[in-house]
Amino acid sequence: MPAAKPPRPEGVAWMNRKTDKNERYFERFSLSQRAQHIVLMICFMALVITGLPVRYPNSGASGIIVKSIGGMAARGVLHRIAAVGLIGVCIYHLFFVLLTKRGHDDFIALIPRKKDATDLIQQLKYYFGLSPTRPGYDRFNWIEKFEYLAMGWGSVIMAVTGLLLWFEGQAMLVLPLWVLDVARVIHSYEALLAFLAIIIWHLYHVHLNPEVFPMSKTWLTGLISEHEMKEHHPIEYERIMREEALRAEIKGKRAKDGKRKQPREAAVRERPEAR
Amino acid sequence: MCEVLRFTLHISSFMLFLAVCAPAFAAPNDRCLMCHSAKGFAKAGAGGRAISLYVDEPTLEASVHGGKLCTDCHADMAGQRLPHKPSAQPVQCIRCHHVGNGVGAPQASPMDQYRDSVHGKAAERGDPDAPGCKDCHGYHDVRSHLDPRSRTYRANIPETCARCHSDSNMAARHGIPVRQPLKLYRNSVHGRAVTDQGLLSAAVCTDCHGVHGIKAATDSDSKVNRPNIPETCGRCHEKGLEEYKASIHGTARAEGIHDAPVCTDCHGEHTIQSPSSPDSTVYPTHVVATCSKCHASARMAKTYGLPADRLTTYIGSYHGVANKFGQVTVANCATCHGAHNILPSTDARSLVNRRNLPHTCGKCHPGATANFAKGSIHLAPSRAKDRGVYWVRKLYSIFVFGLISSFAAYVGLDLVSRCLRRSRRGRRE
Repeated sequence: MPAAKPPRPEGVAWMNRKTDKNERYFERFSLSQRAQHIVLMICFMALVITGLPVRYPNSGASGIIVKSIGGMAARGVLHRIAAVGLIGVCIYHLFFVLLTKRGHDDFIALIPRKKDATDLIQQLKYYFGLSPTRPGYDRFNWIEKFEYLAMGWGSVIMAVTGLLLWFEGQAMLVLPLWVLDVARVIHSYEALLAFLAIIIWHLYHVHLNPEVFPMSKTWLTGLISEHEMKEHHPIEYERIMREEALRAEIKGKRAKDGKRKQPREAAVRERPEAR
Repeated sequence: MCEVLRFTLHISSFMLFLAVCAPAFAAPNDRCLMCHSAKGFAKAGAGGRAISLYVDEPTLEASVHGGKLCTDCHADMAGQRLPHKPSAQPVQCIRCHHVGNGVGAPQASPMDQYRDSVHGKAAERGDPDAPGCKDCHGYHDVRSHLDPRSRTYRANIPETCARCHSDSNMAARHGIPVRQPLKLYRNSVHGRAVTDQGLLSAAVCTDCHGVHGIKAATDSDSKVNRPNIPETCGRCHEKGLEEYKASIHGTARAEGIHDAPVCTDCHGEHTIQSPSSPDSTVYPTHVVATCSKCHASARMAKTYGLPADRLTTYIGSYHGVANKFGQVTVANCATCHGAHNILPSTDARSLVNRRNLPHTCGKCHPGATANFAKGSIHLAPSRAKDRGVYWVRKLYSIFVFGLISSFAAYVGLDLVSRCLRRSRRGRRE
């Protein structure tokens, strides 16, 4: 079991002020991941605001939005800037997954497995009172995996159809008009899907859910409390605990063996591991 | 002696000649002006209103009738002793202004035109409001229509007509449909060209409505009767008329279809604006509504077999959305279909004929290829047409609806389950 006053993850001290000092925290998202999320969030919001008026031109809100952002031409420019931002962060994320251990490990952990299906069934059973316990989740539950994959797949669809519509002249050198019309339909419906998914699904789980209301601060601090770990990611928690115990054992063994000191290396190893 | 006598005779006959001829040579109107040059000279009219009998001599002399005798027009006063009879006959301009007159007065065919005009007919009926010659040309101040001070000088015509036509009492009395036409006209492209730029060639009232032969718009001979309007506008707008005549609208008019649009249906009449003015009915942001007056009308669609969905399919397109939000560079009806030269897409000359589409689309989308014609511009997806869009839309709708309802249901389950657990926990404690 962890010590009473465990060391905190470094680099995020300014964000930790509001967290409980007696609670142990685990790093869930690295600084890079949080930055990616924030860029993604801003671009997504901008895309929704500048895009939905085109889908719903008859709504009064659409008129207000278009007017306040400086008209239809400006709307188009802003939409494209945000699109470049979103495509940019997706490409950055691709390299993040390919080139960093953190990105690579998290990506592997996000791949859906058979357990996710059984987890979903057990979760539903639990809601209907058919099972007394909730499924025990690992680092990412099926909801988070679904969101990640939907985000990835949705971005690809939106980027491809969006680029076709953006460079319609070049696209139509090869493609007939009706393909662009289909692209517009896809762009429009996928946008609606993404918007509703974020409003209903994502905002519920990170904002409106009574457990985290008004907001889970993890997206800013990158931290998750030990209590939340035990509650929502018990499998991950147990694994970390096992690894820590193992490390402590090795350390004790070394100390007993011959006191060969390698302080720098030891310090790095002793930092509470993110995962 | 004899010579003296002859001299005296000469002198006296000269004196006699002078005495006889002097009034005619020197100041022929003096006798009239003895009284009529006094500014306050007036008589009592109906209801005790004073009717001025004052004549401003310099004005008269500067008019086209300067040098004429008072009695040339007021013929019934000729030879009367002073003071003359109190009531004078109205002046009859036709005394001089008739065909073949010997005094060089402008020829009198206008008088025949006037007789058949809406004004002339009213005068014949004895309508006291009916304008006669002097209401437009003036009284003692009649000037040539080329004189900038004339009431009939082109730039002054709108004011002259407005003296009656902008009088709301007069308009109400005579059922004149357009109220305050001067106000509308002054703000139009024609009115502003005249007042702001002094362009005398710009249309004034008489160019469209006629001059002496002016007729009510309901009269089939009127220049502003619906079927006659294109020719009336075409007197100045020749190219527009030529294109219009060849268009589907022009040929429909020629076939006598009353619903066929004429110039004013799209451009307006007194309020007409330049197409580049944001107030124009054919400005990019307004042209859709203008065409839709007919092309979104169920009656028109039924009567003439027009597709009824042109407006809805346009406003559903990106062009339509951007146009709705005020983007003027985006395609509107006229961008693709043309303005005066509109033809059905089946016509090889039509801008929206399949073969011409690459060129038409290419005006905004440089390098447009035949691919622009492979699909529908006015998308109306169904199982038969625009099938790609139809099925993708259908499947996506089901997908989005299914997924979002599952999300909502799951969130609902989660919330209910939390509430139940909380109340159970509460009971236990």
